[in-house]
Amino acid sequence: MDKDLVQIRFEGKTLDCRPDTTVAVALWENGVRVLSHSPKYGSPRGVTCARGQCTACLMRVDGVPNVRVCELPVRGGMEVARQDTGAFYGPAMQKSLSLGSALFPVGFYYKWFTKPAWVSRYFLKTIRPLTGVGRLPAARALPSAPATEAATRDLGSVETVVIGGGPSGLEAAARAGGRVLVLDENTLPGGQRAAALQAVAQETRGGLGRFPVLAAAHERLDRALADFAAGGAEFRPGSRVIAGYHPDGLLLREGGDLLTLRFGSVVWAAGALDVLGLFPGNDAPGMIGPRALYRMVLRDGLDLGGRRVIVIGGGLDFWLSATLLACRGAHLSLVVTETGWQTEVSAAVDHKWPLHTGLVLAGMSAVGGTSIQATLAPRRSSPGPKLSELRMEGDLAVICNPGKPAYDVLYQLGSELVLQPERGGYLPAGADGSDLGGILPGGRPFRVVGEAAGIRPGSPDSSLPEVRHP
Amino acid sequence: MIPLNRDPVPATADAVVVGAGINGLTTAYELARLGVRDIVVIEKSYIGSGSTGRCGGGIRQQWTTEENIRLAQESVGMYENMSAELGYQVFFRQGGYLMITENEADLPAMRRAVELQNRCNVPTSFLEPSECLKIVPDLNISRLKGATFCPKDGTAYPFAVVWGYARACHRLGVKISIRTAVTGITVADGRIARVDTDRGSIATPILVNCAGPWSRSLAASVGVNLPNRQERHEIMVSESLKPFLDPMVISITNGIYFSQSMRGEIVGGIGDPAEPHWTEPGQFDTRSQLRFAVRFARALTDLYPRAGDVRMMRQWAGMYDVTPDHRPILGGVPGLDGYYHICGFSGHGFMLGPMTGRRMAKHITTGAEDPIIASLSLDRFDKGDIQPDAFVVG
Amino acid sequence: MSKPKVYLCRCEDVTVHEFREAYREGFTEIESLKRYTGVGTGFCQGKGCLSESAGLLAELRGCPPQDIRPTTIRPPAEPMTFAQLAALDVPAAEEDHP
Repeated sequence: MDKDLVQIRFEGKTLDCRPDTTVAVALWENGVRVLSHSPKYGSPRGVTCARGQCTACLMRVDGVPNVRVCELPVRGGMEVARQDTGAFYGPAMQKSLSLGSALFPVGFYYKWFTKPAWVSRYFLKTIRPLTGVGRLPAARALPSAPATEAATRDLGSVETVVIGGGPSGLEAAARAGGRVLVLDENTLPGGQRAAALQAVAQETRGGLGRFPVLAAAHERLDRALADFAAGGAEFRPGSRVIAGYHPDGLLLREGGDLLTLRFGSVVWAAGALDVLGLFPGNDAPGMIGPRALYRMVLRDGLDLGGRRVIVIGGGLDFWLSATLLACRGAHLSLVVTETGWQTEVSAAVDHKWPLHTGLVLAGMSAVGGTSIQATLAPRRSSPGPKLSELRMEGDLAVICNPGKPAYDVLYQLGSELVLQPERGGYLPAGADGSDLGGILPGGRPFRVVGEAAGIRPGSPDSSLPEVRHP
Repeated sequence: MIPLNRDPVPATADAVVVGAGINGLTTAYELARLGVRDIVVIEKSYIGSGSTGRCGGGIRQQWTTEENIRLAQESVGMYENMSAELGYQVFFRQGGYLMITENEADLPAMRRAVELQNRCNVPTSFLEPSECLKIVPDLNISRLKGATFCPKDGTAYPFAVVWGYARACHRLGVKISIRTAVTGITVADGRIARVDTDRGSIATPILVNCAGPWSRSLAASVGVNLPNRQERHEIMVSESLKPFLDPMVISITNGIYFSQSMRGEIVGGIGDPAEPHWTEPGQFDTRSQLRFAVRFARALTDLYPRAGDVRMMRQWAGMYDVTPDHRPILGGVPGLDGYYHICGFSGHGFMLGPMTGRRMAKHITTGAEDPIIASLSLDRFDKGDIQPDAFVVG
Repeated sequence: MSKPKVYLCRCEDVTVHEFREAYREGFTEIESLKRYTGVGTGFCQGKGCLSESAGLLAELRGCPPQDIRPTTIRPPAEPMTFAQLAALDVPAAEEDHP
């Protein structure tokens, strides 16, 4: 046994794990790809967002239900188990639901078994034990001291709070006056891609020039970090803003603690979330977005050397994911679904990375316990000879769609939201509908910057910032 | 099929009901059942968008006045048959209500209430703190002084109830116009004559004000002064867990109440003397407060420590339409023919609405005197004839 | 083996097909669709599906996307335990509600 490894218990088995990773990655590395089953159809789910925002990795850990194991550090001796594979309806019912969805119309439970009254009562009695996901934790000891004696967890007030420490947030912080505090869930400034950009810049030894989109993003990151360091703003690492209240301000989570913070004005620079898209099998385990990939590889140390990884999509995140995976020795299959990345495509071809164009993602399915298969269909508008449908199998698929701007906490603070699908979804707006800024109820100004404002970094047809090669 | 009319409203109707919450829809349904044709329900937002869709869904018979007990008992009877009657599952589950107190001084009133309820055939019993553990294992009974429990109280899913009534209304020919706002009401010769909306005008002899927190301002537009004030109340829902809690637990000491829904969530709230109140709709502020979340979490983890590791998913606020005696206002007003109100439920509209809708529909169509409607008429406040209930919680 | 589903909301297992069916049943408001299908009521607080659902609704109604208002504000953005919440200090009532 490697002395650096720790052991966790998973459903009766003992698994060896690296100590400096999350439970989700540790399970992945041990071949456990299915972490949960979905509540209605019992569909298997694997790690998806790697930031605790979805349902896919909710497991029972040391008796506590619904723990997001994609963010939970491994600790020796912990007991981890999947919960309630028959959530809501029980496995038999789930199977029938899944097979006969035409027989079970949406909301059938409102319409069936309603009369006479005794049937309705019996129906409720029958389904009641089937409802819910996860079991209440085992009895807790009564609190030893009243909660009112808890330490004060109030960070006071700042003039400007910048939510999100990516390049756009750092730039805004460097320009703002007064006491400025930048909050970010990562441990270092630079945002969701910073670690990946810095890793590929280092590991390709300056070879980013072949990929203008990466070189430009890296350059912008460096510049933003330098400007931020030169300014007087403060960075608060590992701090996630999880709610906005009027009049109380912001609620932050740092580790297991909640803290409160008030502010004069807010810059919303929370970036974007991964979008997997709407296609058949869009919940298959083994499918993640690029931001999840960066977190799993760079935050959690997931080793993808020798693994087969399919990367599908376009944009900065496609090229960053591909380059990062190539640097880490993964066996790549690349499918560029966007047009216009000629320079990058040529560089990838020169690197002999297997690359396909002219295809779109038509479906995903899990194969066996640990593989995923992508079905790719020819793009209809594609010129040239007609391609046939293509299937490829991998250990992991990374889907790089344009991100979805984050809006939740700013909306809770009172901004308006306007649906703008061409910019990725709902976008915060002022009360007058004005874009990218305004006044919150109570008079506090807000501004929205970067990807949270629907600005996609490095689009193929926009003019990239000038790239200088020393 | 739930019919949602976004077209212009009909030019004439036999009755217009304002508000598509529990009161408006049950009244429209019962009016249609009694043979009133051409009923239009006007809803400025969507079905159940006001107080109904924001409530905790509790239905209890544990009150301290005989009148309230009888009203609630009649409503429970309707809820017991509602899914069958509407052909729509409203998820009425009779897990009971466990009403607890930490205050010795409450015990005599609670024992009297049990006696009164038993006389009304409500099967409530008085429990010593240790007996509560049979109903809610792991309840922290260290400070409890006593409790009452009625196994026939329960909860239903508010949206299912209004959807079920909306469908049943549709089957009976009622038109429901959502996203339609009342802009004015015309009274001619002391009678309701016309209702103007932003989708056209409806000539009607009958207007039923079921506008919940907006009922005061709607009444004011026809010169009726309601004594109601509108209070914000907050509520929350937790993540979904396998069933562990059968009854609604409710404390008359600190106003916390919580139950477990048919989806497995803890649904609960806590009264707060500091919650603001208003009288003009423009002042309503239903934004969520951190203060509520913290107060609820403290009270919940104190009373039920096993909930400490359970997560709160969402919190929201709704408006109570509160009268000076916390009892509804029903009936019409002298000198204004065709005008009726069904409002002022003070946080208990969901539990009483089906029954008051039925009684009011009968009263409107036949003009027959109803002792309950008479006792809950607006003029009771002028007469000083009010009997507040001791068990107003939440 | 059943045909793979297109999930609109993975938390509550709501498919695109179910959402369209619910619309056909008369649930034409995003708030009603949310309650009827469960879309957006899961652990992710709608992060994964609110804008997708709203976009689909705009398509079904044949209206401009900006006509579909988001569902009401319901904090928090991330679930937190009652024990975590109970450990917070809150300002006094007088400060909150002058």
